[in-house]
Amino acid sequence: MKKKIYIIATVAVTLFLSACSGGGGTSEGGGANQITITTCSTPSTGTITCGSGTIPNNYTCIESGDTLVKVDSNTTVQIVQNPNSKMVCIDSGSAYLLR
Amino acid sequence: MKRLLVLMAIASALYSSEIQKDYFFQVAAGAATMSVQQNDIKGSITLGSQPDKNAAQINVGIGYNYTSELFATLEAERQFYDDVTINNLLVSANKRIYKNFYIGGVVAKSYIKLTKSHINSNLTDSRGSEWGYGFHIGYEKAYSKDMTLFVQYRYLKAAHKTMLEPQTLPVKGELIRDSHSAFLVGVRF
Repeated sequence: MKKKIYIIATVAVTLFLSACSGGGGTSEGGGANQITITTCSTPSTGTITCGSGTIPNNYTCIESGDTLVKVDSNTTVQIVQNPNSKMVCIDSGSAYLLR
Repeated sequence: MKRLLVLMAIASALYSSEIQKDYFFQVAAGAATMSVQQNDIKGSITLGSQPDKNAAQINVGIGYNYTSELFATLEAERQFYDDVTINNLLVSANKRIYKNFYIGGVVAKSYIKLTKSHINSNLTDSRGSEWGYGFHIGYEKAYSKDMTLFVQYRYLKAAHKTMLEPQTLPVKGELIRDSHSAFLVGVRF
């Protein structure tokens, strides 16, 4: 009786974890909403709403949870944060926000 | 009342006849922490949300006492992080070393399931598994003839790698969830 319990328990545990199978590593990839970041040298022609404030429209608004991607390691960006909003623009290189 | 006493006597007899000193079950719960490292492979990624490093966990297992000093266990455990769930199937060999303390070596098959993206994208491959190894140290205290309480610290190294590959962008990074530390409180019976 005791042995049966152990065999059943072992098989159950093994089956349970086998259901979680999937060898090797994992990945996060496609489907992100890609937002192009503006360049800092672009003249500002107005303002846009960002957070609870407004920012110059030569900046791109950073929302909570946005992922910042620099295409090259040499890419430099300016990130400005004030109490009402957070914004970014590109000094050099290429960068995007994933939202 | 008489019927209840008879039922209790029968249940007690059945329970006693089933319990053998050699074998035991184990149920435990506790907390786990995990080390997470992010590496940029091409370009640079600033994550939208940070990986969760702390989790609650549950553990069940069976064990066998070879001698009064040596015992082995087969355990299954689940760790609940915000962004991943980790299931471990562990085998351990243990030695009672001093008074009620024991140490053990652990080999594990560790399964990971991603539940949340850190770069606001789809989870293109959400399940993976890796072999792991580690050790644990514990303290046990007999509560009754057939029941033992234990506390245990376990270190397990099982490196789960998650590639970060935003679609359409020539950028690549990785998250490595490497070592896992767990503190468990449980009972063996």
